[in-house]
Amino acid sequence: MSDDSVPFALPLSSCPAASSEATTLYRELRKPLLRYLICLGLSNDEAQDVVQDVFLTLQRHLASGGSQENIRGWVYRVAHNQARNRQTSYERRFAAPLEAAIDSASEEATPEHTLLEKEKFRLLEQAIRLLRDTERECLLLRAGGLRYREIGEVLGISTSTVADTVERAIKKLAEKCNV
Amino acid sequence: MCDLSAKLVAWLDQELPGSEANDVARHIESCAECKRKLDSYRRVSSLFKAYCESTEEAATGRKLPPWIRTLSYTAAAVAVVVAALVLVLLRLPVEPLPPQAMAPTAPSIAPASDSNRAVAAAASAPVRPSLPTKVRHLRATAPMRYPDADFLPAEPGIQVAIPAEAMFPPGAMPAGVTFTADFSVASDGSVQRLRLQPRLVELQRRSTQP
Repeated sequence: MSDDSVPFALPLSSCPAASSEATTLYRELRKPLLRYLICLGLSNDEAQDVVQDVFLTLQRHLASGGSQENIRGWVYRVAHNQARNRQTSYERRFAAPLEAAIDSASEEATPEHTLLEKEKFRLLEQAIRLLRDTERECLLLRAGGLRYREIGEVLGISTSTVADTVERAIKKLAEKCNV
Repeated sequence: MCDLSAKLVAWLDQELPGSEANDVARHIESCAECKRKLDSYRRVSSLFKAYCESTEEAATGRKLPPWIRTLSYTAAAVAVVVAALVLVLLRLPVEPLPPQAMAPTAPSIAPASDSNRAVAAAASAPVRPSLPTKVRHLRATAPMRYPDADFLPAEPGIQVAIPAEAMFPPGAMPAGVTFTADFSVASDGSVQRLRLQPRLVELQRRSTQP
């Protein structure tokens, strides 16, 4: 399946605007959403399932005339809640070492560089483990390009709390990773 | 400890309102400590992002795991070795065949339409005389068969057996699997229709061993 293909039917002849809006959002958000879900601890298959569900929900939401305000935050919130419902995967993520991520780091680089990069990732992962769930989620959403306001919407916290949480988390990581 | 140091991350994320952002920007110019912190936050942010990408790549398999890449390199190396082997074989001195074998005994096939060309070629195969001597020699040493009906080469082929261990990591293939490389040599000496097929040759041989 190519990244741009839309795997769900869009039987919205009565509402072509909603259909095209859902398709546009799918193309734009599918990849960052997948990355977020995988980083939350879902397997590739689970993440693909969730993304599929989320966009079907979005399609219904738009077709029924739901609000299009902060739609990116809306999409991430639905995805986040679905990931939360798969609690086992969610907890698995930072419970076991993630050698795969570390191993796949910059394999095209020189051995010395790779070693250095792996060491950085190892330190970072240790530091990420020590973060609180909210801190980790804030950073993951921030890495996906979401604004503080959107992050607050996804996690159900205020924008100022997001600012404080992101700042605290980044400081912790910077200190632990010594970068 | 600067008062503004608590706003550095928000400034980095362009989340501060205009006036505050200007204050921080001005402050960073004059405060080495805040500048150092800001650089550190910037580095850890991009490291975090790279880590997320790496995690995703590992999960979705978009970057192939190392052993698969090793495998494809090995397969490429095997293909090169096979090709080299063919070239060497083709350059071996060949004993001249008896004169009657060399002499053309059948006329060339008249131009045939597409629909009956295959039939005509099949009918004429046993008496085709115009094969190069070298290919004839190879055919004598390496008998061949083509199990698939859709794989009927115009020229006789050559088979080279390759043990699975030569191409796959230990344990990746069941014991006794051997691969056969089928290929044909065209009249100009070039290799055509190279194809690898798994065979269970070893199994029989092993079962007869004491």
